[in-house]
Amino acid sequence: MLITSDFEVPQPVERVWAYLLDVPRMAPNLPGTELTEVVDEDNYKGRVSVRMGPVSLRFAGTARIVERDEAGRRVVLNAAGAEERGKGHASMVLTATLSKSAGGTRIAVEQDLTIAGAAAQYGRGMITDVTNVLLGRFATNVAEDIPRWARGEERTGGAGSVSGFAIGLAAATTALRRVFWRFFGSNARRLRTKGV
Amino acid sequence: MDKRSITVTVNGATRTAEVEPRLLLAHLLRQGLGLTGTHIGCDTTNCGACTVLVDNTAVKSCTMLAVQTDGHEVTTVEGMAKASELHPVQEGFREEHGLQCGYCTPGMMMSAMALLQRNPDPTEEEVRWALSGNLCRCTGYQNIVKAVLWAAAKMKPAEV
Amino acid sequence: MTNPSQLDEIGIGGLGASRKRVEDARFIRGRGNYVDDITLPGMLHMEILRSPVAHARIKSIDTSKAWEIPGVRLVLTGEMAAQRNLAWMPTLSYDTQAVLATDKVRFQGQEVACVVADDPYTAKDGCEAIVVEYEPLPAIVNPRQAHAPDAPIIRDDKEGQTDNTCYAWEVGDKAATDRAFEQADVVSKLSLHYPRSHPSPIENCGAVASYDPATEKLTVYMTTQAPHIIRAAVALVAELPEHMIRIVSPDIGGGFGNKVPVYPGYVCAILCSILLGTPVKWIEDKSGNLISTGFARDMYFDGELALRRDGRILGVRFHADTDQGAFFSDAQPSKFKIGLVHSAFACYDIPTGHITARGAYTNKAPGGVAYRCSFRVTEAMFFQERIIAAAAADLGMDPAEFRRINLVRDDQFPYRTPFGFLTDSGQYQKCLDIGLAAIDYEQFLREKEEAAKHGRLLGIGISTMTEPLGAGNSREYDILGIKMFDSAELRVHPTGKAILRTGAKTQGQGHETTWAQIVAHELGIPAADVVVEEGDTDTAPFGMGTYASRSTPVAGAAVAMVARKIRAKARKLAAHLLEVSEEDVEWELGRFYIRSAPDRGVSIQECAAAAYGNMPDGMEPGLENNAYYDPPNLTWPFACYIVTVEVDPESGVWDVLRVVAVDDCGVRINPMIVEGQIMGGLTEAYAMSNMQFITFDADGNCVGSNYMDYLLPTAWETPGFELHEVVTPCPHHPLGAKGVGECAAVGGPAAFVNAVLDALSDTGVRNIDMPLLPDRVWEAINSGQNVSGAPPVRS
Repeated sequence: MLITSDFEVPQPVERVWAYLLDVPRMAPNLPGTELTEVVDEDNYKGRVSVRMGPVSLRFAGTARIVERDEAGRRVVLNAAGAEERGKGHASMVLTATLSKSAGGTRIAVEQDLTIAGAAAQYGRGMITDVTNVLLGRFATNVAEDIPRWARGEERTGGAGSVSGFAIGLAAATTALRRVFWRFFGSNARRLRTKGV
Repeated sequence: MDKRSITVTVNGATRTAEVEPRLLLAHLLRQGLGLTGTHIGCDTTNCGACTVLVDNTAVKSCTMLAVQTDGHEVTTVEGMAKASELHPVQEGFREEHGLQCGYCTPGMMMSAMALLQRNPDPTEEEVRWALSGNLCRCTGYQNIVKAVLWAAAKMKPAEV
Repeated sequence: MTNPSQLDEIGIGGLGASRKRVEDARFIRGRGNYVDDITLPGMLHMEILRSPVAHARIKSIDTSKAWEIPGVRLVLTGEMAAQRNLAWMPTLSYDTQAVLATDKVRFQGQEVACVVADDPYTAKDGCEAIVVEYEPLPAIVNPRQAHAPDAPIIRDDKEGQTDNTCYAWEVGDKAATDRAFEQADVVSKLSLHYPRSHPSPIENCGAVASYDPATEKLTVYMTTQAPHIIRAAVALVAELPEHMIRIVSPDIGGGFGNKVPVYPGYVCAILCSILLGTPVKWIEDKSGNLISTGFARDMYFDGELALRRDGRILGVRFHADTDQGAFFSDAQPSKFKIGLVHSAFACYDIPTGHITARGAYTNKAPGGVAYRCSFRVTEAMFFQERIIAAAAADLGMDPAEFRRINLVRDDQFPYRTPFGFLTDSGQYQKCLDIGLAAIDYEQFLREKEEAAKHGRLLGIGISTMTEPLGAGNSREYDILGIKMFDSAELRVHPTGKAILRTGAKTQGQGHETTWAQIVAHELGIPAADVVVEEGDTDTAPFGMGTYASRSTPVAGAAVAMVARKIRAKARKLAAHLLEVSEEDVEWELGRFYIRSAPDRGVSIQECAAAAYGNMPDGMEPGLENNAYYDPPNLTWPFACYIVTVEVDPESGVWDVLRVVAVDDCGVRINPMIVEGQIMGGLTEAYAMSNMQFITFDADGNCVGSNYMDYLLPTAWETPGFELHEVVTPCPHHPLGAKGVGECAAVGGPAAFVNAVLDALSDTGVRNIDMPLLPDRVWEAINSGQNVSGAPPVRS
């Protein structure tokens, strides 16, 4: 499943680039993410907890930076993990490309996501919705944290495990909007068909 | 898990129960109170087989917690008929062959009753829209619509 | 002695009466007795843990945390079941299926473990607490992948299995058919995929298994369409003697073929009950039902018609690849692994044909059940009518005219098809004519042309077919070695009331109402005086259950035959009461009379009283009998469905304008019920063609296995239906009836699809696989290419 999104951070490109490569500092901005081990500057172990509707999942696995393109401001990351209670597994190739924008830096993210298991069954739109909500939070958290990081301050808490309920609610609102469109969009008027 | 004590009026009778907060209303009705006429057909709030009236509003009882009905009134299919007299909606379903396997029927009739309470003279389109939260796999809906219109006609006050 | 009274057959609820249904009395009061309504003393609740992945080795299962939860009574794994030789069970098609996975899981949703607890919530908690370690393997999601030379072997549990082939089959005359194709002026080709679909009755599957250690008797209340087959299967699997097993099928909330197979859940519930000595209830949830139980269809067709320039079809040949899932567990007659797919084209006069078929194992739940159809005939009839439409287009011929030229004529019956079937009777051209008149065919074509000038896309689709119902004669049909007869047992009480039991099992078709009408017809006993029971193997005579529209043709015939046996004995009693010899006695509805003195007669009720209180010397008392009916042939109803649609070229959304249905199912026992069945079938046809979408991605994830994504039409989307009737009696059925429960689901989908493709005829698109979702239609319009729906789908 290919998910693309982009967001803006009001910081200069070089600072955002350096921040993103500081994986232990950057990773916790993604809600539910916890870094458990730094193997070396390219390899990390961690855990991601996420709730999608009725399904709550905890993936434990590895992430590896496979490409760092300084000139093109592009980083490619491979991540793979198994769900801790055997509910499935997931792997992802994430490509993030930075570019200068009017408001600071534009981060274009492309995720090639493969999920096997419970999460993949539910709501064809749900994974995309939840991912978009998560990335939206990520962007907000990054934007708030970069100034602190630039000043050499610690992260403030709260990003670790954002309420699964809140994320679910946000994703559900997105989904509901789609449903309303389906009903009140072009197909809304029922053509009268004759019956016996 | 700690249980809560709730008091609900079901089909006119006051019932009390000790329930876990996570207990669904549908399960309270079916297992707790032995009213098995309300059926469970799905796990994503789509099918409507579990529809009951809570304070006269049609509600999918699989998506409501029993504790939410504390102090409220619930009407199920078992409460539709008065003594031995069927409700016109029930009669309409029999007269117009509006059911086959019968599984969606209680929920369908509840939704129909809620519709006729707020709109006693619906058009075919309005009936179909009101019932679009109740799935039926057997009938193809045509006779269900006729059943509801039959009931609406029967419930009209007599012309003077 | 009674005075002559003309009984009104319709008045007493006989044949042809639109009798109001007996079943309704309890259903409209919410007093149905479905499996989940059943509570037994001491009953525990079972929940199943399912595999989240499609293909994987099981490295470990840790159930320790589940055992610790208060209220959990038993946690069962495949390893524990294996110790009792119950990790695997035989299927209805001579394969084996895992009850609980031991070495590998082979489809997403497969049963891995089960938990029994005091209440269902705790049982679910127990499942959540089980930790399973999987080692993923590559998943196979279509037959092409399955048959590729380097494909991983899914059924490595089967000795001697070296690939993923489930079966191979062939029928017809290859040499003659090849010759026909050589002589053809035009050859029309079509390839398509009939997608996997799920019957999805609203009620899910479940069972209450109750083993009594004191009596050693097992009683199972179960959602099953075929209780006697289940009893035979349970006897095999659980190694319990047949007379100590009682299967009770109470009220069933819809079957549609989903409730025929033996599911691991049933076996687990039975095993848990035996181990614990208490009743155990298992009711699956909708997601479990959609991902693991009786899938249907999933057949790939590549076929051709050999055509003469004047429109005559010279021959047909096609190859079908089926996707059976991980286990071959649907119930096909044992000689016909791919069901009756060779009944395709039976309504057309075609001299020769050849069919090859191959079944594949894949990493999906077992598939191929008869979902509202006779065995796999939906696939057959869909392909038939789709290639007929394509051939008409290839010849530049009007599709109605093309059919008219090729339909079997009235004087050709009984008609032998190139694949060996003998169709019984019909008036095919008449049905087509009625349909065309009803839809105002010529007028619609003019409207279509006019609309095109304004950029509006209108389309009309026709589907005509005859399908084989009422399987079937003992020479050719059996399931697991048991022949496919059916049965009826009738006992008339002293006051002339009666109780009837049959080997069928209604799931909404109204047997309690219609079988009594047959008794009323044969004996003149008012239908209201006959109570009908089905579904309890301790009391019902042996039958093969209700699916594949077989009940009216087979069980209904048995009801007629047993009633005639009763009438034969009643005639003797009448002769005795009237003090004449039997030869002097005549029968009219409800009454025997003396031929030479017609106003001297006795009612059937008086004969019944005599059977208990005034028998002739030497006659055994009582008035009861049974009948087992081995049908001499299948029955062949015919249908013509015509649909008109409008397609929105901007969005790909299509709306139905009109649906006309002309059904000839022979004699109609209860017209109201027949029409209800047709409307239900048309709705499923509409659903399959428009919105039912459940498929698989490349990892074997089942996409759409819940009601949020697997769309069933509601009252809002479902169109209205215009029904018409033709009656051509069945020459070999005692009542002339043919059966109809599934015709519309079988013949309907092609009418909808043909209509949409007709609207798109200017694009040159030949095929869009079902469901015709807006994005597929849009893609077809904009690319001019065929659109396939075969998995894997990219999520």
